[in-house]
Amino acid sequence: MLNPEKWLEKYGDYLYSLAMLKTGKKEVSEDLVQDTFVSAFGAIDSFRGGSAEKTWLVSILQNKITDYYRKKDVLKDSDDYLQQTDTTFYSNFFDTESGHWNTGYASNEWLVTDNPSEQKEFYTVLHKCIEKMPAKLSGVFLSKFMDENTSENICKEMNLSPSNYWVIIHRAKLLMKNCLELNWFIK
Amino acid sequence: MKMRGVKQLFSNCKEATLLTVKSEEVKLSFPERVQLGIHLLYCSTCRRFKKESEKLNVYFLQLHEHLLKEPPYRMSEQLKATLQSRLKK
Repeated sequence: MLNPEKWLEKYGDYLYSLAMLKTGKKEVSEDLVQDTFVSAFGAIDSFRGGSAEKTWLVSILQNKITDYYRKKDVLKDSDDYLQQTDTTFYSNFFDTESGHWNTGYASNEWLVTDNPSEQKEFYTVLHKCIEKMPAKLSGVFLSKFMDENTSENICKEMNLSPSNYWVIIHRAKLLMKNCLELNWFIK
Repeated sequence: MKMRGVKQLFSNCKEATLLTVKSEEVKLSFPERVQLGIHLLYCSTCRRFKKESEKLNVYFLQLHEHLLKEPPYRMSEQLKATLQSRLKK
């Protein structure tokens, strides 16, 4: 049975968290979630119900996030951004002369005992690491891993060349790995 | 020129890790596979990166499910109340 008055209770914080991770901004996320529920309730007749209510709400929110990215130029000029920051970014990780990892990076074994994904605190750290990532990277990173979007789709939606897509994923991975090592795996 | 090419091939961890990340999603071209394969043969740090990168993917892919189970951020009570009354109209 369709039970829209329960949606706020059931999906409110979930949608809000999704918006928070993707925009990093409280006010923006509050607006996006409000708009999502208002649009959903306004279009309730077009929704046929069933188990897909969550998916439906997420897709409404996702459209609003994409609009927000576009309006705020979050993903604009990724090419320039990546080129201008290339040396500064990568010199944090790799020695410009030798091409090898800098000392202190990736040089220690992880200390993993249990599966960290079963621990709540692990995700708290993970979310903090995502918050720290530059917005130009986190949007793409989350689209790949959280929405499980394909690279072709992401490139199309975010107007990226495939090579810039790989650079963004590469950078995001390096940042996340480093942040997680400092705060979880090797601390 | 030739030396530089050899150096590129053998000691570029930046390139090797990028190819590693790429190989998790698409099939690399033949030259890319050779380049990465040779690099991984002698670079233990990049071999470890590859292993750890795969582990990270598993955790990252659970982000969404976790978000639904335990949302890390909570809407303020005020926002909830506002929204509740807006939706009733």
